[in-house]
Amino acid sequence: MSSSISLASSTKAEWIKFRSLRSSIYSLITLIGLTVGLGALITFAIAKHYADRGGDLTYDPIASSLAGLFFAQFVVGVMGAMLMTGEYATTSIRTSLAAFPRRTEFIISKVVVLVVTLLIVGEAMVFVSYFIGHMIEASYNVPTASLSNGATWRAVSFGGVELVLLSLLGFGLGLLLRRTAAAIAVFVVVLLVAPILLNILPSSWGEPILRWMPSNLSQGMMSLTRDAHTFGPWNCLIILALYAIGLVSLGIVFFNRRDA
Amino acid sequence: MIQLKNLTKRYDNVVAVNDLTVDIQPGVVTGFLGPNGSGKSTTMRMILGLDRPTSGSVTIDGKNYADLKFPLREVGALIDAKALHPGRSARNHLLSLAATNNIPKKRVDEVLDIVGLSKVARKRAGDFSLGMGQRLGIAGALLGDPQILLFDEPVNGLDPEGIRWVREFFRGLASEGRTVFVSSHLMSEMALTADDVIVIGRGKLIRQGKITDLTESAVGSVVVRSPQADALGAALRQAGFQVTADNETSLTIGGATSEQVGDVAHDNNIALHELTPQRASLEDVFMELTADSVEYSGSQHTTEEAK
Repeated sequence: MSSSISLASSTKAEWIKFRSLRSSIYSLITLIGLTVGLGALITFAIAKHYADRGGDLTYDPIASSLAGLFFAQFVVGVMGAMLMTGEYATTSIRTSLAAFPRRTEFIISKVVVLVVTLLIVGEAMVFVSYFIGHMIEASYNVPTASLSNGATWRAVSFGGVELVLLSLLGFGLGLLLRRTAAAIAVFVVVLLVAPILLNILPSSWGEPILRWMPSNLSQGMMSLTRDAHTFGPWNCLIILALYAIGLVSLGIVFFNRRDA
Repeated sequence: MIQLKNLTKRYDNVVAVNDLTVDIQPGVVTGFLGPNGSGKSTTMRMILGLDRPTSGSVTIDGKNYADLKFPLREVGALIDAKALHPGRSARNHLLSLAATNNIPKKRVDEVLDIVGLSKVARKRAGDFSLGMGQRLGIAGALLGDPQILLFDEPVNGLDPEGIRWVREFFRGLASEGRTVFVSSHLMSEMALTADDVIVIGRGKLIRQGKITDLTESAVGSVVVRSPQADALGAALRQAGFQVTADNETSLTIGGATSEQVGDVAHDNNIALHELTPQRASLEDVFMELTADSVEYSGSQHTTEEAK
């Protein structure tokens, strides 16, 4: 028997808490439905359109198979945020911290549960989406991407990683803001509203900023073609990961100082 | 033993807990009394390391809460019956708490049985009544079989049977040598449960001691009935007592003993039909002690009528 609470014990407790809520299960079902279902539907629509129109359009097989990820990123953002804001909304944070008062490790336990769950579910989803998309594309005789190609493999597998990083952004916002509505609002503004506004600006102003936005970074992670205004996939992943780590670390600093 | 040393908590410009120094001893039930908003819950949260003291310290057997190796095995607390996720079943809530402190699963079923929630263990805690929530909170506090137990307003929402159960249960825990610290804003409840009391008002210590000392120290009053009540009233007033006429034949004399009233009657050749000393109830003592420190009081008019 260990001499004090281990990270393994507290992670196990966080896992019990996660799996024992119906909302966790519903979130995961929604996530899978959006990624796999919408991905298949969008691939079907685009592939059919492309087949009808002939070869005068460009077709990105990965972008259409994984199109559902655009919607999935909001689900994981909300899941991440609510993992923290749920504790505050119900005041169960007090019960949790009375059981495990070492606050940094408490947060790490939650992060482990979030990251491991979404990495497993996310990777499984993106590969299933890829294969379904591949089958649809093959049946319409439109260009396909093969996993034997390193770039394709990287783009697909980064899909799951993207979801994990975005969920951590949501989690960090939840930790800092403590209110579900506030955390989700900021998440949507950063991911959806800000890029639209930046696109309206003259491109000489907007573009240098746009490439640093989480929305562009997450797209860039899965891009097969290199756009002059974006970072490469690995750089996108590293920058997004630094955002996630930075935000959660800042959250931990505040969390340690505040009253629960 | 829980030791509070010059414990102070200040929010912006409100002092919630003001220089509180007390020791909470094992083997007895210590009642923590004060009107609503007097700083009881804030003190409880500081003991558990949830809120940081502005100054002063709280220690549990000489250690900070955060330094306890397995906190639930040393300190059990019910801070708020609603401090759990309503979507989780009672059993899963306790299982997650047990997992952190390496408490065996078997103990979860044991505590559910102790508080009488075994039958509803798999129901969502959010569907529980306030009383059932309190029982679940108590189950959580007992989980690690701790030597120190804190309960913040545990009888809120309990039915009479539940209140009686809690009372006997707390006394049982104390008789096993545990430290039992129970807050309440109801003096009458504490009178039946606690051995020692700590009374606070506006975050400040007002009184600490045995509950029996508290009642004995209270100045009582005497009720007399006499056919010559008017004459007796005048004589008593002259002797310096506070007299209120209840009706034509009955008087209440505050701050006096029955001997003093009897002597005055004798000296004035007044016949008495009744001479009854009234011991101040604990509720009266409490009201008197905290009168100056009630945070949110109704108008004097309504309190008079309520009597």
